Amino acid sequence: MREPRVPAAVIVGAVVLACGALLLGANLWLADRVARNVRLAQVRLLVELVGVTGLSDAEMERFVADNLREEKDDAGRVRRWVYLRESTVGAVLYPMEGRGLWGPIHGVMAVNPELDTILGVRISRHEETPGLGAEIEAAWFLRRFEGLRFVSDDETCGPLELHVVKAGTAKGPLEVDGISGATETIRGFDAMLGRTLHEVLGDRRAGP
Amino acid sequence: MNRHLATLVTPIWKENPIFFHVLGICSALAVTTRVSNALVMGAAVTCTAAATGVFVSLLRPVVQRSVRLVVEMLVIATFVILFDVMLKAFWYDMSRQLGPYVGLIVTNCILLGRAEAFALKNPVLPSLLDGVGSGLGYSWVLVVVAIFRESLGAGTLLGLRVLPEGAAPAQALFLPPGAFFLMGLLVWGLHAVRRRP
Repeated sequence: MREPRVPAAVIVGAVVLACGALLLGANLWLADRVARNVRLAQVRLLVELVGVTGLSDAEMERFVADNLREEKDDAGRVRRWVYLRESTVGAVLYPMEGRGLWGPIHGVMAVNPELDTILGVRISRHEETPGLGAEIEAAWFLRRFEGLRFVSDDETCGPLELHVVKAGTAKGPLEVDGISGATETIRGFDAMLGRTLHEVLGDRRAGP
Repeated sequence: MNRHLATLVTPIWKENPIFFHVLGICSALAVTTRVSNALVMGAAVTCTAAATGVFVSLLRPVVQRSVRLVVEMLVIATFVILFDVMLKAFWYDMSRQLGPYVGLIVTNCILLGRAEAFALKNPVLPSLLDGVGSGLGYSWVLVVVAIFRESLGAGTLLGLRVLPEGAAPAQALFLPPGAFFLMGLLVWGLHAVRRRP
């Protein structure tokens, strides 16, 4: 192969600029769309958790704006959403944040107005292994948390012992089977669930 | 024309990147738990390999040997990121399912291998065909592995149930070691078939 006469630095510089320009352009073009997708995924999740179905994307956004009251903490982060159904509280939704095997896990947990039973759990974002850890967002797994009561009948608050355990070893009403092949992910998931329930119980103690 | 057809078909069968060069194994094991994931991943590799082939071939007359790897990596990374952003924008759910694996195509040896071995030495059209062929060769193996793993490991195919409800799926196939054994068996089978006159 004949060696070209253009200096290597010029070529590399030109390629870097061209590639950079291409990616910048793509980002400018698509950033809004990506942001909208992220927002819509969250909205869809909230709507699903309060049990409303059959809405279009635009209707879902309006529904969340009209019916879910956002409560923020001192740092300005969403602490929970209160779902108002015909002026009574229908459910309370808590954002969840945890650490998985490869990256952060984000999700939302819905609990009943009395703050003692899980209505549903959804995962909004994660970076877990497809087919293994990523199954934490699958319906067959998350269904296991629906209707779980995490407060014992004789005590008003706790004790908090809900745990996700090794697949196939769950005993009693406060243990939930995990996913085989996803031990680390489940460990993070369990910790995230524990923290969120802790917060729910704090609110429960504080009263309505 | 025949020569071009051969350029396209050779990497699909006779010199399949996975079976023949044993490249791209990591992602082939990782994303083959679902046929849909394998299809999109195959499309991603095919598109990026084709685009890389074209641009590396275009730059061939002006790039010096000493910096060719830098240029190849720049081109590959650009197209992979481009595909990743497009997926996030137009098929967000799939982007979430594939997680980091689309971005990891940058490190897929098939792309750099074909750029080095082919696009750097050939004109644009053959390089394009070679890229598409290599991508398709990678894709069909992924899909075949995924068909086995999803149907036997999870009891579904493209999300639809194929095993009767209650039949215990072979969880081992769903785990990465299962994929490794399956891939080994496929490579063995294919080489055995090919050795026949």
